[in-house]
Amino acid sequence: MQKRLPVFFAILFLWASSCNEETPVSKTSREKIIVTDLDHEPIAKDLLSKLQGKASNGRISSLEIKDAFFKYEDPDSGVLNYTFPLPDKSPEYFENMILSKYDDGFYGFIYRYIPDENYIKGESFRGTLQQFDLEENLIGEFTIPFEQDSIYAGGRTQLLNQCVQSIEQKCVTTYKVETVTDYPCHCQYDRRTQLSSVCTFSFNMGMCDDMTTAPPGGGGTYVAMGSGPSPKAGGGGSGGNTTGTIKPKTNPVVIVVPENDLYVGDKCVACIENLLKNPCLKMVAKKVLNPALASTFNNLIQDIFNKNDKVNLIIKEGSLTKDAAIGSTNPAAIENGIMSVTVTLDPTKLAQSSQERIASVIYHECFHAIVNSLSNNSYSGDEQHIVMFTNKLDLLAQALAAVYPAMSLGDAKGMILVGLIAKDGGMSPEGDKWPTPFVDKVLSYSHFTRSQIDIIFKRYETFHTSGTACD
Amino acid sequence: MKLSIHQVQHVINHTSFVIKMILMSQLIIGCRHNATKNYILPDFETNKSISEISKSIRNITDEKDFAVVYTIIPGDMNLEVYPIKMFCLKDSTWEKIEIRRGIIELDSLYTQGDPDVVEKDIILKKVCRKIEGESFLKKLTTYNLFTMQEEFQLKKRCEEIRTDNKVPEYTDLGFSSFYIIHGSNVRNLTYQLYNREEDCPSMTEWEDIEKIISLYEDEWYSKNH
Repeated sequence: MQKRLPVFFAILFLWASSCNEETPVSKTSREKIIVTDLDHEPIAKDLLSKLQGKASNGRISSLEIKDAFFKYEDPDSGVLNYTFPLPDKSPEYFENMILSKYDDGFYGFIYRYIPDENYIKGESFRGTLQQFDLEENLIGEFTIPFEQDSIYAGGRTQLLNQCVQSIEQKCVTTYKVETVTDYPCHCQYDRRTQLSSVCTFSFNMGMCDDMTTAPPGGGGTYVAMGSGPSPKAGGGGSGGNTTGTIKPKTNPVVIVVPENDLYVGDKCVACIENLLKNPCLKMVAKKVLNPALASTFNNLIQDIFNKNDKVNLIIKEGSLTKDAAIGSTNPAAIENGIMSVTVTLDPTKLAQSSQERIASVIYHECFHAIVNSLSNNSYSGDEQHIVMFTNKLDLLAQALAAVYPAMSLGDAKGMILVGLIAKDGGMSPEGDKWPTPFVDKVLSYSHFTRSQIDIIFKRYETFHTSGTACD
Repeated sequence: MKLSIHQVQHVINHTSFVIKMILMSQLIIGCRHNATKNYILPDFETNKSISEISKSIRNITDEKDFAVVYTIIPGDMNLEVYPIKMFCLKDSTWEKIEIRRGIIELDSLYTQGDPDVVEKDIILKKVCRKIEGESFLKKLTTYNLFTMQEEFQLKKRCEEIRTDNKVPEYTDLGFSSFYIIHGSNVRNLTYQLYNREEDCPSMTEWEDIEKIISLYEDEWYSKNH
């Protein structure tokens, strides 16, 4: 027994020491973007409290931070900043407030994003970025993508170079729950200058993928010393703002977020989670749910599932053979305050289908997902289908035609109406099928005949004389 | 009139022959009448009128003594047509009859083209060996098809055992549909099965329904029945 004691203690020691090493990822990882909230960020809470106590700008003093905000922290370089979305003041632009740590304390800025006419919501931001201090004095203005002659007005941020390649990094989330996890996000790193840029997030879908700025040179509104980690590298806060005075590791504020999927632990918040494995299904789902698509229906999908951190859409594969189904939508389910709606597609049923057919099935299911989430499952499948095939037929068809421009609006309507034909249960319908006269009545709203729909369906699905193959 | 002994004997013989014939014919008729009753057919509760059954099913089952029909009602957006499979008893013979619907006549496809192709139903029939028919019926009974509650009743029970008291409703699914037909008595059962074993984990009915479906899907023409 005595011989075994040292072994036992050795094991105990190893076990105990392994426990001690369980440090949160956020403390040990480099270059972390963190989605967080005030409950988890005492420094930010303290800064806001100090700021709001003395702010002369009414917008800032009355600002309420209820939801998530972003933190970027790199303990090695000493970079620490927080990005808060500001309430919309104008439909022409959107703004974030940034609190950035420098050598002598935290400085506050307002970043105003003014999209140009080429900017498509959801894509990398294009337009003008104006930098203000918290009193809303303009201190810098840049065009994005950057141009060398951007106006520089003595702010703490200045143009360093044009574009750098963004690289994928691991980011963490501490939002709402105490879970810390890595998730892929794109942050920025200038390989040429070895400057790792500071990432904040542009809320409201203003994404800027390739943007870097120079070390601080002045401007901004001094907020407070803060009690965060001390920078190890110089912040360049001397006020010198000469173009070209690059001080490595004294990093500027940069905005980067091509991905707007956020995770809490394994849970995706503000997400459309494409878990499809079949390459064709995955590709089509990605295509039809692309935030950049300009269709009213897709905008609705993005607004509900991709910008709202309380509602998620999950698209996955599953066998629906037992119920002879191609796709299905679960009722909305709420867990830990987050609502999720899951859409299941059966890959075996769609294996030979055209992209257009798959897309029509995905939009059909997304319609259910939207109604289930907005109504908290208050509407029956029948109620939803009636609306889908009458009042909302154009909405879905236009979205489908927007994804596949070669497809006429008529064909798109026909493909959506395939679902109506499938509802026909004859004169003695079983299950949830509809009697033929009722199907005909619903069909009459569309001004389509059964044979027209049949021909469209066969062109895209049976004979493949129309449509886009997956390969 | 006085009958001779010979005549009396003849009358007795004749009468006896007639009685024997009557008895024999009774026996034969009786045997024929009991043919369906050679099997103790399971009782079931009627829930549908025979007039509500589709003509394609009735065309066949009207001539049978007993039938258990299975088919699939496809989900929304699914335009596939599924076969109708019937396990039927006529006299003392069990049959497996399958209607394969919407089979395209190839000639018409080449000569007339879409949309004027000719679609036909093909009816396949297999006369079962006695042991096969009996085994199939026994399995249907073992998996409780004839006493199975309707879906709404199963869901109600499921609701009661769930903590949230709600059974998830999934959109766009199809149904597995059964008809038990005996004369004018009909029981129709339709079920959606997706995720039900997970949704209602302590209920064995969903598993039983899947086993019944598997008899019709996977073991329909196998030698085991």
